Amino acid sequence: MQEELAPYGMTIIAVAIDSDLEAVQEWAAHAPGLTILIDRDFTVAEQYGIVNVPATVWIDEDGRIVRPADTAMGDDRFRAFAHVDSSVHHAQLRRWVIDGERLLDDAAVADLMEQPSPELQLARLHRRIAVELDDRGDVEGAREHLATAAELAPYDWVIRRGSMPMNDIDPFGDKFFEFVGEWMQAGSPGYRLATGREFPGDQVGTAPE
Amino acid sequence: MATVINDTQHVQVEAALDDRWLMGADAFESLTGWTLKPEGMCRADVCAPIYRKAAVLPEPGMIDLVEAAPVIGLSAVVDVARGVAALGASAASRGDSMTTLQAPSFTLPDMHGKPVSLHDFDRRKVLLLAWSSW
Repeated sequence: MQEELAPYGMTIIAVAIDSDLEAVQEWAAHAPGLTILIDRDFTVAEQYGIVNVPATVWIDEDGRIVRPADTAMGDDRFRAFAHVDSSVHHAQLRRWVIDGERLLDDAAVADLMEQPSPELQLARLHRRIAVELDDRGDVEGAREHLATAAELAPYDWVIRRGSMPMNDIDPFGDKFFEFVGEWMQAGSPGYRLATGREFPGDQVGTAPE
Repeated sequence: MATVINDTQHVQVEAALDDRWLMGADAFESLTGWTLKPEGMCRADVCAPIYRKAAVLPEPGMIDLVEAAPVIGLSAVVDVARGVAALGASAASRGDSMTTLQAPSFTLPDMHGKPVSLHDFDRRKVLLLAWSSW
């Protein structure tokens, strides 16, 4: 997409919401030429209300958000699970970049921004402390803060799943599916795709089964 | 010295840590940009009144970081035993800035450690793609 749309004035900034430098470097090696940044403290996730990855945000030439954080796959590897068709997103992206067409007006974008609860904000701060302590080799201290973060924001994917590697838990393993189960039982909170709020023209909107 | 992690960096600060995280007015000002004055916490020509004085200013000239943060639109979490605090936007101020639809600026290191900002791409459309290894 970068190669195709760059001549029309678009840049992809790929932000790794990830505290594990080595893991990021491994993945980044598969995408040479892409601008890849590392957000170890998850600050960008917080600023843009990103509740899960992968997600995209569209920012126009005036620095305005014209499409808020939305699960959007680069390809169809996770299609069966996430019910997201990457070709729909790609087609919409072309219409925006090449034809200047917007799917949502400002009011609709503002309405779809995932505003944080006070508990989620505190959970994010506990997570920042955990990253610092983990860097110092204080694994015990890091896990204490991750546990507090999980209590404060039990259904936030970035907090829960994003903390699994630091807790030595496989983010693709049993514990992850346990979390998905808990989250679905709670009514799939804080997640646009699962709450049926979809964009015009999107063929998405059903929760993973 | 203790460490405070804010939205952009890790800052070393002078702090008195016992059961609370206390900072002198000067250290608090260099950390947050807000000055303690008789009328409250002030920055430029804006002053925020301190309603809970006993909690925010428990000792003469000393500011409790956790209690003072909400006065200036922030939230703080502290670990006094380990000397680490995190300071970020309160839920209300984060929510307010989100609804302005102004894309928040950020500066993050690339794969070679070079800082890159959203502003480096001014006047272009940006597809911000958040991803991870997890």
